[in-house]
Order: sequence, then C-alpha cells, then structure tokens
Amino acid sequence: MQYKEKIMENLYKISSPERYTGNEWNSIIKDWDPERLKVALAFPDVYEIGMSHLGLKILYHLINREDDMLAERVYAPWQDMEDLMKKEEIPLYTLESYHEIKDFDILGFTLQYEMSYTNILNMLDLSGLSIHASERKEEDPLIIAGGSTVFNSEPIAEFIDLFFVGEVESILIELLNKYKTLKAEGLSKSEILKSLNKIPGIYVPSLHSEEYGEKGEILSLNSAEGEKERVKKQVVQNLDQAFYPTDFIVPYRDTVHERVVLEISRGCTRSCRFCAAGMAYRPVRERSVERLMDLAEKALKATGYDEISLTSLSTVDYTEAKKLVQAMTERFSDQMISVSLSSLRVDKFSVELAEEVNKVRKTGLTFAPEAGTQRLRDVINKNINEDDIYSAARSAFENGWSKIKLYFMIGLPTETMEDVKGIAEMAKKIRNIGQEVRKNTKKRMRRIEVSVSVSTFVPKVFTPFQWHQMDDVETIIKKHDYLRDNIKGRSFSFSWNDPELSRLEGVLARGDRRLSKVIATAWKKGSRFEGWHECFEPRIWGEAFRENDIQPEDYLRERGEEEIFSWEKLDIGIPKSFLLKEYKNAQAEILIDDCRFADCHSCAICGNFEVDLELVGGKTNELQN
Amino acid sequence: MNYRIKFAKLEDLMYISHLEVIKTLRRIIRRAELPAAFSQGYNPRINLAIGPPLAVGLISRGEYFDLELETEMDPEKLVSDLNAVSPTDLRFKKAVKIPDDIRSLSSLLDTAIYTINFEYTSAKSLEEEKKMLEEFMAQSEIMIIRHRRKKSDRKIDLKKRIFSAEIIDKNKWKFAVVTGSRGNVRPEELNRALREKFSEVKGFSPLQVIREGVFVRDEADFYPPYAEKFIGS
Repeated sequence: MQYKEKIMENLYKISSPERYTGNEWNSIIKDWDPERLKVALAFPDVYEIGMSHLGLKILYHLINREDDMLAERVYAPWQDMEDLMKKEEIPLYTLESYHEIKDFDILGFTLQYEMSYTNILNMLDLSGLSIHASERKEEDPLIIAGGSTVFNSEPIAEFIDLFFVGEVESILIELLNKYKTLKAEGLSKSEILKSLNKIPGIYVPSLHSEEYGEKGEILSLNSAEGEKERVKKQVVQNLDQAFYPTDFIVPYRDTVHERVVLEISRGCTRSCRFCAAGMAYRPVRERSVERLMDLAEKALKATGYDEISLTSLSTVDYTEAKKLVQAMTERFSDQMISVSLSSLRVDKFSVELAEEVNKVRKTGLTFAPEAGTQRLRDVINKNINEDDIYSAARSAFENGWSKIKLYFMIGLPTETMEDVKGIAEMAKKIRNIGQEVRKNTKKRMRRIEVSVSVSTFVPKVFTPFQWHQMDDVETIIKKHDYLRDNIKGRSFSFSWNDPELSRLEGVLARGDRRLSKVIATAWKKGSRFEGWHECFEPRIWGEAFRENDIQPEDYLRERGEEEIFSWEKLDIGIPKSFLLKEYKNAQAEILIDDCRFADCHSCAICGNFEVDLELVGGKTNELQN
Repeated sequence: MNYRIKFAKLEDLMYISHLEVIKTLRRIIRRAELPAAFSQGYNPRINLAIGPPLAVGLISRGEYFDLELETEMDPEKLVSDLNAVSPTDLRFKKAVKIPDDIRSLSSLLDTAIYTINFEYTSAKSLEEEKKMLEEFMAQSEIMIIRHRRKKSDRKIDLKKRIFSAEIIDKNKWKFAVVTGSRGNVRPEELNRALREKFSEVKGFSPLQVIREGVFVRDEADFYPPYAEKFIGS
C-alpha cells in the first residue's frame, strides 16, 4: 500500500517534516513492475545521518543500475514521527514511492554503530513485522544487514535473516539475482537461506549456534550439518575499476556531509592496535588520480555541490595525495569549489596538504594524537612522536589556523594517570605554541582555540585489544574529572562521552547472541536512538540486563588467551595468532611499521585473499616517515 | 547583469523550508552551469536574493529571487536551463532582466494571495458561503492568538492584515493578506478565525491551501515585482 496523501496532510504537525518526504534531486523512482526485485535500503538512524553514509549511496545506485531491480530508501523516524505514524496508522514507508516496507522483497539494514540496534527493532515493528526472524512469516520481506559492525553482529543475530560480511559491492548483485531465481522457483524462506548460505561472505545466523558452559563461557561455535563453519569476509579487488556513483542524491535538509564524497582508498595498514577498521578493511587499495578527477567532475555536474571531500581511513597516506590535491585545486578553485580532507595524520605533510586545499574556504583542522604520552602512543602503535605533533601544530598556526581540534582516548591498555596528565599537558603546550605564533606574527590572527575531545576506549572485535578489559565507570569519571579540572580557560574547550553510554557500547561491541533478549527488552521499554545523548536512558538498559539475568560486566572483563569468541564464526582474513602477538607487542611497547613502506608483518591478509596492496604511487614514496 | 526570476514550489516540495529553498536554488544554478556571480570574501557564494519566506508546509505558484550573472543571457534560455536540472515540483516560470538600482524584492513584495478550500461539516451553497464571508469581514476586528515557536503567544488582529477577501468558486476562498517586513498572516490562522465564528468549518489541513503568489500592492491592485512600473523603461 502507498500512503502518500495521508502522510502529506499530517507532516505539518511534526518537526523537520522534510526528513520524510524524499523527492530529492537524483533520487530514483522506478515503476513498480511486478518483474522487478524490490529492495528497501534502511539506515537505523535519522535521515540526515543516514544520507551521509557512503556505503548506502553505493548500494542504492548499484542496485538501481539493474533494470530488473529497484532500491528505495528508509530512515528511522524520530520520536514525534513515530507517534504520528502510530496515531494515524501509517506503517514505515520508503521515500521514493511511499510504499510500505511489507510490499518489498528485501529489507536491508546498514550497520554503522552498535547504538542503533534498538532502532532496527523499532523499524521492523513499525513495518508491521515481527522483530524475531523465527517468528516472521513466509511472505514477509527477507531481512538482511551488513556494514562496519557486522564483524560482531551476534547481539542482533536473532532479528536478522542474513548478513553480508565485508565489502558487499563484490557480491550484492549476484546475491540478489540468486534470491530472485530461488523465489521464482517457489522455494520456502528456509530453503532459500540455506541455498544463499553457499555464497561466500553470506552469514545466515539461524544456521549457526553457540554452546555455553556452566560459567557462561562459550564452549563451542557450531554450524548446521553441511554448512560452512566460518564465514570469510569479502573484499573488492581492483578498487580503481569498482563501481562508484556520481549522481548522488542531493538532500534539501542539512545533512552531515553535504558535498561530493570521493573515497580515494580503502583499508589502512598503519596498524593502530585499537582500530577496528584498520584490521577489518585490509588490504589497502587506492583509486587512481585520473579516475578520481573524472568522478569529481561528473559528481559536481550531477549534484551542484560546492565542495569535494576526499575520504579514506588515512587520507595523507594515499600515495599520490599531493598530486591529487594539487590537481583538484587547480581544476576546480576558479569555480569556487573547495576541497576538504578527512582523517589527517599528525604531521607537517598533513598541514601542507590542508594548506593546499584551503585556498577557497578555510575549514577547521583536526589532529588525533590519541594518547597523551609517547609511551602510550607506542603501546597503541600510533607511529608519531612529540616532535611531529608540535611541529605540525606550529606549522598549522603559522599557516593561519587559529582553531585546532585534538582527539584523545582514555582507558587504553596500560594507561595510568600519568598518561591522562599527558593529555592536558599536550593541550596546554599546543595552546602555548599557538599563542606564541600569534604574538609574533604580523598577520591578523583570531584568538587561539584548542578543543580537546576525549572518548572512552571501547575494545573492538578482531583487533589486538579484543582481549582487553574496559575501564569501569568510576575510573572513567575520575579521568574526566582530572581533565576537566586541568583543561580549562578561555582558549580551551573540553568534551567527553557519557561513561554509561561507552560501557553499553563496550558490552554490545564484544557481545554474543545472549544479548538479543536484552536489546529486545530495552526496545520494548521504549529505548531508541541511544547514540543521541539526550535519548539514552541508562535506567532502561540496567533493567533490561537485570530482567534477562545478564551481567554487563561479563562482557567488559579481560578475556583469556584461550577463550572462544562469539565473533569467530566470521573470518576477517587475519589469524588470531597475529592479533595476540600484537597484543603482546603492545604490552611490551614494541612498535611495528606500516607494511606499505616497510617489511611485511605477516598479518596474512594478502595470502588469504590472493590480493596485493593496490598502491597507485608505487610501494615506496615521499610520505614515508 | 541582474535577473528577477519567478518560480513555483509545488506539492512534493511543500515541506521544504525557506533556507532549504535558497540552498537548492544555488545548487540548481550550479548544475545549470550558469555564469553566476559570486560574493566576495571568506566564503564565496552565488549572489542571490530571495523574496519573503514561504512557510514550511505551503505550496506556492509565484515566488521570486534576484540573480546576478557575469554575462548576459536570454531570459527564456535562463528559465529552460534552470528547469532542466530542477526537481519536478520546483518550476521556474519567468525571468526578466532588471536594472541594478531596482528596489529589492524584500522591500517591494508586501502581499501574499492565498486560495483556501474550506470544508464544512454540512454542505454549503455558494450563496451561504458568500454570506459567511460578508459576516466574517464585517467584524470590526478579528482577534486571534498567534502561537510562536520558542516565544510567548501573542494576540493579533487579522482584520488589519487582510487587504481583500472574496469567494471565487464553491468552497474556494481567496484572501490577499500582508506579508514581509510589515507582518504576515498564516492560512492556518484564517481557518481558525473562521472556525471561531462558524463552528461548522472543518479543521486546517495544509493540502487545502495554495499560495497564488507574492505581489506588490499599489492602490487596490496587485502587481508582480517585475511589472513595468518597477523596472522603469
């Protein structure tokens, strides 16, 4: 059913109605031909967040390129819209055709962060579907999911029919075609799932189970007879040739990234030991300067945006960074198009690049030293030293930036109060450098502002720190208090995360299948949008854990070397032995280099996937430092 | 070179806000690859000035903006170039070349004309409706409470803000009301005021309203902002 008129006559009652109306430039509205496979692409957060997600943009255009398929979008409704939908009996619908979700063959969720799991349940419920996969009907859409938190999807395993593991562009169309064929043959849902499970990268949770011991430990991970034991993640080979859209949808409402987003490379081998993406998205693959220039040209023409954002896990590590940035500014600056960079490293080269791109508009500059002392930076293998940081800051101030943002983490392995103190000291020293530069410059410069953002470290799966215990709330608060007392004054701003929220993230990040019922209970009690500070209610979650007889602390503790982890049903291509060796290196403060510029450390990814690093500028280059 | 351009914002885009319309216009101008002039300074932008805001939830057949171009362009081509890269429900209607010293849209435009489809709990004849309108407008004042977001409620007199009112067809009322810097009237308020007087009038729905456009009031007539008398000879 379509609900357009009912929706249009009611939306004036709620805030931000344009979240729910679609009709943006470049949105694709196809006929509802019965022959077409219909896919609803869902993002479990509000429109303006979901619209900025690159993966979803790629999938939307990838599916719609197929003549016998269509893809439409749906985002999580904010509380006022949810109330309106319930009152007016409007089910969850897509922004293209205003069809309800039940009319689709497939509903696919993007998993970007753990704090959106209750929104997934809510969206299923608003669609009129049962939240539990086992209770859904034969004619209900197939519920699939994929994205960055798929590497530990066990806490939502009971709600989802099928997961993609890894980079879905490589297998999506094959999967959808297969589904279409099986459906046409009249197979039942469970037969279809069994058959799809044969495709690499497909994880059907109902074909796997966990066995627990008396103390709640995992005794074994089992799969149904004849089914694969572990699911190997999929990667795109030859990123340069891979599909990339240019006719991006142009939203009316302000969204997080209103610009042409160009993914210049995928993967990172800096080997920061806390970083989930750094392990999960290996190997490094780069797009060529020529391809990127061509994509930029087409995307600007198709959208009318006035900004290009170059994005990757570490932009300055792109082997042709300088050449690319120069080519972009040369080509586009007279059209008043600015270029922005994400994920800069803390070094002088980053500042030079940032200077290059800021010829049209000057944006802020963000550095992430991550830890306050050299010792702790060595523990996490953040290969930068004090001098790099201070000279980068000096050169930023000298180039006219007056505002610098610094990112740190607390709660990293081996951290002591000395390391926390180091954060405050570094912030002060950077502020002093700025004030000194400002005093001595002849140019007009605004007041120096240093903003310090501190997040609480959450151990993530498939990283060397997956064994590590998370800080308890009292310890986190003690560290926050120290920093708040020591980073104050007109030139500073200090921000931190809610400790209770970080702990919940910690539980879900290394959770197992038993957490499904906790999530369901929290959702039933009204929890939504936990990632939005104002919506998070620790009380509800406390009750949900208690009522299901689950101790959150069990998920936050230090794990034993021999322990079986729930997420080991999946295989990211890096052996556990490598991660454990790296955990030990961390404790011994031993650094390892980036294999792009130095020796291979045998993470085994290249051999496991029969791929090699795809570096457009060759293996050694000027960025090596 | 300055152009005054008329556009319509229709059903599918009724919930797009004023600021979003401005942003969208800038992107359409870029997509059309028009030789737009940019502002100077820190954050260069396309030079564009728009008329009084159109409320979220309303559609309009006649809104305006002024655009500066670096080189001259045939107004008809300007309109067709814009339409080629614009969402279906944002339509460009007409462009007129204007002199540099013309009065700005925000100082000229002072009137909004709405047609509202009122519905009643029991059917009314055209004659009955005409009588209702007469009675409604014969009041010495039409006081209404205005609800303002993040501000306290305020009492206002709609009577002073309505320039003219007529019934153009069965269920179709047409109001010319003040807009811009001298105040404004919301269609929802017209519905509410009428409902207070005649309880058989049904509640407000934005789908009942069409803003026919914004105009310049001169004597008893309403003109578009690029009428001969404003752009000179």
